[in-house]
Amino acid sequence: MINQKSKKIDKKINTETITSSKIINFEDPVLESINLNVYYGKSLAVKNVNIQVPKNKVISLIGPSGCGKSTLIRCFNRMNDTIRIARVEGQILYNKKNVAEMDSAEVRYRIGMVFQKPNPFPKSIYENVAFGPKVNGIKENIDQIVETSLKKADLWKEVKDRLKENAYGLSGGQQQRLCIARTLAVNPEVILMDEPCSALDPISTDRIEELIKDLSSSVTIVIVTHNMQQAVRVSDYAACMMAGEERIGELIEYGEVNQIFGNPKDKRTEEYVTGRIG
Amino acid sequence: MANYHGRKSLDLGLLEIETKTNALTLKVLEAFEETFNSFYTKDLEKSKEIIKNDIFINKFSIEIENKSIEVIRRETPLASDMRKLTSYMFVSQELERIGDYLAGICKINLKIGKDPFITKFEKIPKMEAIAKNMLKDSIKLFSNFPDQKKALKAAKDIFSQDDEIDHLNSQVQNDLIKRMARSSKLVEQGTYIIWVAHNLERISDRANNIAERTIYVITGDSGAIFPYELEE
Repeated sequence: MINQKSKKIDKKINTETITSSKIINFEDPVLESINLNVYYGKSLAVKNVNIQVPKNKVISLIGPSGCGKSTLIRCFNRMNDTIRIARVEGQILYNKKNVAEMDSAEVRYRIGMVFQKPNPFPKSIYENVAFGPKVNGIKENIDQIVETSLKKADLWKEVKDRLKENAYGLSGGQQQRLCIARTLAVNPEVILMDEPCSALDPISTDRIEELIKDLSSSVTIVIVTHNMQQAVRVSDYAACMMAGEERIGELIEYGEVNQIFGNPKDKRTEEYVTGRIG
Repeated sequence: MANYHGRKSLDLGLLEIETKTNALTLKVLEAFEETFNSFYTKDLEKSKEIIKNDIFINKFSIEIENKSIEVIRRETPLASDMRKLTSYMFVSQELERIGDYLAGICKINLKIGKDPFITKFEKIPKMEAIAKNMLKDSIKLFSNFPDQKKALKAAKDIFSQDDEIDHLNSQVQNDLIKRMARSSKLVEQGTYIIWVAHNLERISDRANNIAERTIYVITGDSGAIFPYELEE
């Protein structure tokens, strides 16, 4: 008797090999780290990270506390320059240009950042958004920039009649969207978000997540999150980092979000996303 | 540094569902045994009892589904945990359907009643043995989740038995249709016996589905649910 099914599954055994997947090469990555090592003083914190970030996609960085996610994300726009003891080896390329050789201010308005806790300036809502363009010498159409940025950040309807009020009067979720509007006002190509929803309630979190998805059609977003479901909801790709016995963070797996959270190749990623290490 | 820790609540939930699935499997296998004993011996009272008890298999299956949904809602599982939980729901439904096929055979037994059988039953006992074996093997595979290589080999063995049962089913149909064409007196019971063979063939398909689902749990490749189709 011909046994078609058995024959075909034999082929499956031969073709299917599970390998660890750390590197994805994109045609035209907007950001790229090459052999990146980060030291705090003499301690190596992040070791040999090679990662490419594709344009107009959302990339989540996940991993247990202390694995180097924030350290990595801060390398992308040279925020680690502000930490005296931090030292970066290797290269970060922004559109193929080494960020170390670019003007740091230019790097930071091209690659904006939103932090864990909303950090509006102690100024009016309007001034918060207008700050970046003004610092960059833009004098015209500031009203238009403020309105457009607030609309993009899904905040315009709530604040259009109170633009002169102090930003501290806004709720936590509104303040975080204001910070996103402030970042958008200088027209960045990349926004780095370091746990942007960890201080927010579920409704505010949902609005930020919707915003991330909307913005990703025109902006690349790299987000650090401890919330697995959030990473699944908002990201196109996910990168898992892990620190071993020596407490040195490494990139252990990088892949499409459905693969990382549905069928991770690296056992450590599996244990982390299923909540068994952390 | 990352520290290993179990997820007690999730792991207990998974264990409870696994235990319930094993218990449901035992109930189905017991019904399998009793269905054919009552069929060959014309124990109509036993057949009635099996039909009546099918409700417990249905309820058990719903219990597994509800528990799985509860654990998914509570624990928001990912990766292999999620694959296992969704597969427990799938497998419990397959077992429930197998229970229905067995109850169907018991109903046929009642329809045939005390009339003497028109056949000596050569192929149907073979089909019964193969279907039961496939069910046991697929459930064993699903319960143990062996490594990928072993699982694919075990699945291959199960699929090959399915080919055999399909072949026997065709033979039963052809033999009986030929005989029924010659004598109209055989048509009623002949049709019933074709249905018995059909139900056994469907049971083997369900066992096949369980094996395919196990491959999905292990590999995480949804395409591997239909590995033989993928290769075409």
